[in-house]
Amino acid sequence: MSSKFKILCLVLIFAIILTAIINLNTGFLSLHLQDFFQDSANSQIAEIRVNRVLVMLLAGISIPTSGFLMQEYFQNPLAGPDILGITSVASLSVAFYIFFSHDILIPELLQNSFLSLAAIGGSLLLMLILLSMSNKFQDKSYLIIFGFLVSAFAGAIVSLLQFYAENQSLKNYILWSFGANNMVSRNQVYVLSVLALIGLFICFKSIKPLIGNSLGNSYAQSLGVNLNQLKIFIIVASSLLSASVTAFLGPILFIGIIVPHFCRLIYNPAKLWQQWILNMFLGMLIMLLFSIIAEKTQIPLNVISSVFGIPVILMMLLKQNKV
Amino acid sequence: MHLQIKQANIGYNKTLISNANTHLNLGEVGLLIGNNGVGKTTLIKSILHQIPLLSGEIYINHKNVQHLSVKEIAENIAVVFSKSIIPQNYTVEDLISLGKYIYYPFYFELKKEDREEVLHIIKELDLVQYKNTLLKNLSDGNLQKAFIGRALTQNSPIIILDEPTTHLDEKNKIIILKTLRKLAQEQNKLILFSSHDWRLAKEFADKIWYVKDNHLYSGIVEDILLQHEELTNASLFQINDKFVAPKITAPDFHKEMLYSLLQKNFQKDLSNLNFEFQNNFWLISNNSSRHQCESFEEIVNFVKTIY
Repeated sequence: MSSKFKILCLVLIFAIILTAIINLNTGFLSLHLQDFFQDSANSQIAEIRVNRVLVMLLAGISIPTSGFLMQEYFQNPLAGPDILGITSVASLSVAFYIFFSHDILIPELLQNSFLSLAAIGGSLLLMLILLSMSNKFQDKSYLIIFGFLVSAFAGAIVSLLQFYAENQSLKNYILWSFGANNMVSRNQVYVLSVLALIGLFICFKSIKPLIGNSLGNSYAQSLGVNLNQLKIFIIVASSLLSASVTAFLGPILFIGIIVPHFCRLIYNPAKLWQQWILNMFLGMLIMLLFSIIAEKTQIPLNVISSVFGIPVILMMLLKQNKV
Repeated sequence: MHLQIKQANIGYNKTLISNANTHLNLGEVGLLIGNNGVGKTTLIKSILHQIPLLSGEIYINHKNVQHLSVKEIAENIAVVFSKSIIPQNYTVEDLISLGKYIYYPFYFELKKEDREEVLHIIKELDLVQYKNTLLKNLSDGNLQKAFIGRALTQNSPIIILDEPTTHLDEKNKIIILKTLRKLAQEQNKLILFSSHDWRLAKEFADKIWYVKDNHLYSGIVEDILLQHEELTNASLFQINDKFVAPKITAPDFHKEMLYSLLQKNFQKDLSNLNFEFQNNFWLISNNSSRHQCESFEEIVNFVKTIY
């Protein structure tokens, strides 16, 4: 492992710890250290902040990993969880759930878990469709076009639902879609960690086949890569990672595209293992920073990630055209 | 018989090569020739079991490829395809290191002795100055050499190359072909490569596999060349339908030059002319007259005055 990579990692870890501490101290009230460890008047607020930091760390690991897997597999730097349609189908399921559940009285805790279940269920359904279709799409780019169509379709239905929705449900949905980083409970953090761990494990198994796939399918086969298994791994891991985060945090856009891009900018050798590790570190750092900005300015997380992400993607497009 | 093809029908949907029977041993270099589209690449992919056989069997080291896993095939055969994706951020060293890919279970970072082997191969292929160059900035020839280097690094008993010398100039062609032959002889490897350019390649091959009219002919290079005269006569190209050659009496080389000169310039029937080369001038005659020319330019001008 090169020394440049080690230094980069150390710097990033240091920055993550720093931003995590700043994040814990950001909010309406200023807390004392003992609020985090002892039962006190403010310990509930402390718990909310700890949850916030934990969930940002998980999102920072999951979404960039998901985007990184897709970009390496499709060999297209503009691929991301939004591209396969995962984020939008998750949003659609949540919209369905919110708009049709307002008559039914459910305890709040269950309400939250049902909401997440809806998102994951919708993404799993899309994943199954993608898996069954992916054999018919020999060309990788068809999968991307398919994802785009799915996003457009989901978006249209969500608009339709919004038009007929009753006031309170509409407000709930919009709040969710802004990126609800302050509303995550400790139980949800546990569920998210388990899902993320499963996704990361599959990702761990896919890195080596991805390296073998870098010269194209024929070479991959001649190097002993099981192409079908790789395709299933990529779809399952990237869907699981991004759908579970979307369920709990709302659709956080563009992080899955820009974090892998920045990683390639700061460290470019053809080493996927290092790239992946770097993606997770940089992802955690950026999510924590965004969350601090969201707290300070009261602007929704999703708006911040878009404002920050869209210019970067535009720049990438312009740069691609030049080559 | 390390690589054996038994009564195989090869093709995608329709049969391209039917009833192929042949084999190669360790230490031998096989040259696969045939016109475009006869199924050379399909045959190569069938040996790699990337395309299923329509019927028949292929054996590697007495094991049917159908029953080998992709990993076992990779351990037995290293391959250089004629087409591939060029990864954006790969250097020559990265690409050649990829040859060691199958020997690492998860984490892919070369051990010291593997790194040294990679550096040794880079040196052998004369690529030292390009070691850290990105593939996309490499010339076609050096890129081809790097891909061959990757296959060599895989250390498999069989190496198959699809058109390995296509983008290379004469000097580099010879470097590659010599390396392949040396590998076969010194490390007892089985090497099979396809090439359009069989005239040069035959000097480095033991056997030829010749695909023509859905058939695979195989044998010692010289036997196959003698049995198929279209292979040895191919130096006179018929590119002009209206052209009918005159009678030419000259050494082979002069004959070929005159033939191509006349064909280029005259789309006519020249069969009543008679060309004879006499030491340093050409004697041109027809029924009525005789004429001497000392250069090809004079010949062109002279023939123009007749027709």
